[in-house]
Amino acid sequence: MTLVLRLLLLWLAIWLLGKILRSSALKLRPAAASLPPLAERIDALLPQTQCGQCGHAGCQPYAQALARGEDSINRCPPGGEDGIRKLAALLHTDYLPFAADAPPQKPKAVALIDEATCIGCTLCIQACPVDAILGSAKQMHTVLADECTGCELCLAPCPVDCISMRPATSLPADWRWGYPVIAIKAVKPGTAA
Amino acid sequence: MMSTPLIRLAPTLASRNRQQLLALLPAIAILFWQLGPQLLLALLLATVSALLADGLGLALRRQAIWPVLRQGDAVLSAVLLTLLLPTATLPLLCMCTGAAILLLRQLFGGSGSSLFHPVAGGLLLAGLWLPASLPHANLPLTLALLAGGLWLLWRGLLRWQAPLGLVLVVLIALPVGSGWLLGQSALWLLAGWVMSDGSSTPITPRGRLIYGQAAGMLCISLVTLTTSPDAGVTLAASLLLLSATAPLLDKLTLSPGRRT
Amino acid sequence: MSRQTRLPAAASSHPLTTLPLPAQLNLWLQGSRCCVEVGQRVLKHQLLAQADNEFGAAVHAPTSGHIRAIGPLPQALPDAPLRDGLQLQPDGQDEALPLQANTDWPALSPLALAIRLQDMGVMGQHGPLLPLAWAAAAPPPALLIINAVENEPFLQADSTLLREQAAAVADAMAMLGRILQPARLVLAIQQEQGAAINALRSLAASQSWQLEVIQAPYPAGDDAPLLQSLARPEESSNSLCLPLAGVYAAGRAILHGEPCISRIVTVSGAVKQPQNILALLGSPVADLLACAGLPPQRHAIVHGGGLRGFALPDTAIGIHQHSHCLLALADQAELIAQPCVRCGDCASICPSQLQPQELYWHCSQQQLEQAQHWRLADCSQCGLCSAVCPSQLPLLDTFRQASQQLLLAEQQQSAADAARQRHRFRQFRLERDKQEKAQRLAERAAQQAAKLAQQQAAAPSSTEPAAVVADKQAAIAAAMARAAERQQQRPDTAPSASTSERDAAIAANRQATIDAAMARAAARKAAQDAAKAAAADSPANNSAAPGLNQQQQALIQAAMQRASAQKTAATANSPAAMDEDKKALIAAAMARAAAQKAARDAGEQEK
Repeated sequence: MTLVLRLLLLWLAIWLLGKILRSSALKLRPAAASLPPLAERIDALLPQTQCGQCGHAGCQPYAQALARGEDSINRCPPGGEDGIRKLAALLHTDYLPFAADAPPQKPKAVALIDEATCIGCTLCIQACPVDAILGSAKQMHTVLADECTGCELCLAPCPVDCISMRPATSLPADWRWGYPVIAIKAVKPGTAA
Repeated sequence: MMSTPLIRLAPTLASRNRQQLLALLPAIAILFWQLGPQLLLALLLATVSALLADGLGLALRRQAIWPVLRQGDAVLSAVLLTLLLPTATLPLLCMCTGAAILLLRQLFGGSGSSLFHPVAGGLLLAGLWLPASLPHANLPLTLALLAGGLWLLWRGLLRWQAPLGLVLVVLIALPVGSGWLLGQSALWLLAGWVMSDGSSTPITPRGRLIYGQAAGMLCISLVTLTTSPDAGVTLAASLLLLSATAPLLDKLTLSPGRRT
Repeated sequence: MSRQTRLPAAASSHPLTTLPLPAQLNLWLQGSRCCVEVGQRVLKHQLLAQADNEFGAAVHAPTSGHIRAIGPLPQALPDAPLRDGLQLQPDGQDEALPLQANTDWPALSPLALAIRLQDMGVMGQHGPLLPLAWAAAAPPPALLIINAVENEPFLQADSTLLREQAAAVADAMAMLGRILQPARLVLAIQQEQGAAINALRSLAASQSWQLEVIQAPYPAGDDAPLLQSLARPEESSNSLCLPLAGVYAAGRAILHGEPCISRIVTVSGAVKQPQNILALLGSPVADLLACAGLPPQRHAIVHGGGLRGFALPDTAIGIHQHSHCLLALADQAELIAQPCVRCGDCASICPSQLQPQELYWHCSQQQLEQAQHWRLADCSQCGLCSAVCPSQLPLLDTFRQASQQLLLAEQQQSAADAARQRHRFRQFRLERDKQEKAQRLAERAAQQAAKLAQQQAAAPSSTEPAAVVADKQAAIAAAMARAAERQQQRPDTAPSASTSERDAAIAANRQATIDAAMARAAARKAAQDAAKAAAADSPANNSAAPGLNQQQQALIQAAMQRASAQKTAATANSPAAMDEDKKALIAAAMARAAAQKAARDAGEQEK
């Protein structure tokens, strides 16, 4: 009899503890409603080049497709491997390397219009997803380098091929501190002379 | 390849260990005068076993051996343990030295990450076999250790907060009858050379002060409550116990500071 | 534990010597475009390269000679990267262009001064001495600090300059004060620079600037702490800090027309005779070291101060405008980093009260968010933690690298945010334009219908106007149908879709205007007829009016329905068509890009 009673008591205690844990877990969990929608959070991680290399018409549609689970996280070359890692962390999936046939990752570049060749057809202006090209019909166009995302969408429509991509410069200090290597390089005097 | 070869404003690890050994020289001289060449043999054997244990640990961990051994951590530990333990039982000394270094330093991942100080560990280990006899106060040795400690303090190599906390508590507890602790050379040795270690104590000055005080209180309580005669072993036990709380003390006393 | 930072100070001030003419000069073209050619002979002071951007400065020939090479050369930067450079072989004649002193300088505006300094090759910390954007925008500064503090051990270049050229520095400061009109002009100097202080005290009394003697320890001489300690609260947002060497060079450039071609370099460390050397820009590091006497052992050559400098792998590299110090340090072969022993010395010496050991842990684990939590942003990168670390951990290098990574990430994030905003606005704008156009068309049709209704209400007697109106209605409907048809055809003519779309819209507009004008004319005519008829017999027609009205009303309603149906068709069609258009364009562009890429790849493979 006492054994049954003890078991009952034990069961009651476990049940109570479970209840408490469950309710506190629900209380403490960040409310899902307070977070922005998943697509927005994914969009915040994407590099916003709007280049369409993922096969979608911009970063937001790709984010929406990812949120619906209709696409894989390794479709964004401008985001790089770092971007894939961030997406994997957000979506609680595994890291996925780029597909072998994926467009190559390039260093950030900005478009430059050869102003002598430009005929002012406005086609690039209509292709630019971030309105980074200025100009009007039959007038020379120019790229706002600060706003250019390097998506290369303006290259194809240009009928005279006057747009080229230039590496983006970061001035004045365009060298980087490398990761420290712990070793000292000694120089013998006169080796350079 | 990039590196910043700097001018150094503070001694390196190896030089610190050398100076700590140097500060022990007066104590070694006193003991040599008291014990004779037996001490030298003990020192030699303990050092060899410490180096062997360290090297073995490094080899097992597939680390470069020589760059670490030349830092002198193992030698310092061996000398400290020789000064703390009776030199009559040489096998015990060698065994304790080797085991402490292997278990408490190498097993924890080297000198930077050993949470428990090997000297305190070795002393506690030896305490299991030591005869429970009241050691007599060795005044010349104590004075020699004090002199060495003061020299270290003057050189700026002694992190004084923890030893100060310990001594303060012992002084405050004089009415309880803990005065005899001050005559024990083991107390000064542990205070000056073990409690000033970085990786087994909290990193903030406040944390170290708390650590020292707590060690003092624990030691005095243990001594008065349990009639354990050996101050060194008791203090070593308290230090080991408190080392486990060092990360907690760090967490409590360490903050990123105020943003500017 | 507050430890007073005791830095090794040079025992006494070293003499100033002039470097003999080197056999070759390796100049760095920092942000500038070369305007000479290989093989060309140039004269001293001749322009070699013009500033190419906001952060560059012109480069002038330090002496006469021949241009030997133009192209990437290793430069005195961390890692000695290859940067645009120029090799000049002096011919030893030192033949100079005549200097043209400008007497018009008091009339210069701050911006004109900044541009002239850039053209004279006078540089400050980052780019030209006076940042162009600042000079163009800023009001007169509340506080202008000339920083003459030697803020690293061994440095003596600024003290030497003050000692030797105190009067010239004072003239330069007076010139800057005159043009920039700062409310307060201060020369900051350190307690230890005794000889320089004495040289200045007598001058400062008669001038409009103050001498501020700094007593705080390193790194109080950096620009940020200096501004913090010297600027009053109301001045802090509008102050500028300029390096002494740049100010002196500015004085030479503006008052004497002499471009910046040399600077004073402290050569110290394990050399036989530490000294301050006046060297031409581009002089090889080896020459400066030889001048000070380098013993034959192996040495690490450090460019910059002893705390923040970096090793140079090659001594053929030329000095540049930021080379204030060269150190030869004995080879520290045992410099092998040991694990952190948590001694806490770095935390006690850190002037920003950081916890470098925690920061180092997080930075080396690439946990930049945690590093930010431990205030990586507050690190002034003074290098004291590295200098006291007994384990010889590369703390400074790690913090520099992590800070830069953080900065880069922030820049990328802000760029992405801006791009997202612009992209969304573009989408919004396209949508809005479409809707506005549809609305305009709808309004116009509604106006016409209303006019017709009005006109028919005003002319109830005649059946003729009704017929005319019906005709017109039909014409309008036909025109709109044509327009709609044209709009629907557009997707087929994809490449010039938007042009034809605009043409169609313009044509539809024109048609609608013509129709409206005709309708207005018809209405006027109908109204006149109606007035005449009404004047002739008003009572007779009264009974017939309701019948007619009903008939007309039915007609009007039918017309309006037709019109609205067409309208909705048009509005429904055009956005879809637009989207189709855009998608087709993007698809076409992508297909073309892919084709080009494939072609390129194929080409590469063939190679």
